[in-house]
Amino acid sequence: MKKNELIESLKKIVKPYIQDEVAFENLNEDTDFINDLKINSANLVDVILDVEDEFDIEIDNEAMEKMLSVKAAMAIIETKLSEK
Amino acid sequence: MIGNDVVDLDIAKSQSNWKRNGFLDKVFTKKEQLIINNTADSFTTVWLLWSMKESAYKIYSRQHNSRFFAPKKFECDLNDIQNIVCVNGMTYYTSSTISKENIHTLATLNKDESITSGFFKLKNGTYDIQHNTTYENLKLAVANQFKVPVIKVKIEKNNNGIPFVKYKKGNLSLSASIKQGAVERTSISISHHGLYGAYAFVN
Repeated sequence: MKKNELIESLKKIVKPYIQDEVAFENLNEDTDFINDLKINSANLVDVILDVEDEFDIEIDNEAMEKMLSVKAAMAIIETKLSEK
Repeated sequence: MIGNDVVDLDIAKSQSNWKRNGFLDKVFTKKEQLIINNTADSFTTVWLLWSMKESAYKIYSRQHNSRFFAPKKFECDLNDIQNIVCVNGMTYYTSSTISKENIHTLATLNKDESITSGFFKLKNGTYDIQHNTTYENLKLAVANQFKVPVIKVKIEKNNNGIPFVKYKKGNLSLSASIKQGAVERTSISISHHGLYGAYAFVN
């Protein structure tokens, strides 16, 4: 999957949970889910579950620890997809 | 050190679904899931345990200046005398106030830590109101507690997004031992969710 496609998929996933429209419009690899998009931490669980559903992967506890930014999420998705 | 967390139970009900497949397994240990399943009010217990984990995480992340998302590592123990949260050999003491509308939890590193905390209802639940009201209330409380003018109180974040408060001891300082203009820092914690906000700091 291409990088920009992956970012677009992530954008769709996080959309229901964001609280900062400007940061969402400018979403890029460096965007932080909590500090930039203001997603509340309870909804971060939903983001992780949605990513699992969308890509049909399992995000283990170790990977989940790092899931705080677009960049980290992309790396985790790419790794898990390559292991399939 | 101090950590706090607020849960607006109406928002928790409408914006999160703890019964969603996989949710409990991602957040709670087997032991915690047993507590949740065996209580009459599973919903409130889910969010009580969540707020204990969140407030303990806030102290842990300040101690280690690191951010991560591992709610399951923060193991809660509920009992009549003192609720605690354990993670990697550390223990944090928590106390929670629970009403029909909200849960407010404070976590401390030491049992007898002297802290100032505030909890309040917000005008509305937009992010700007939540954020600005909580910051303003915290600044007023810090100014009051440390006897400095409120305009000299600044809230900043370090490179990991962890907030701290800075205040300048100026002319109005009552403390002669601190030289004029000296900057003091203190560890703080802020939280807001839905219609409720809270702050806490070490005195």
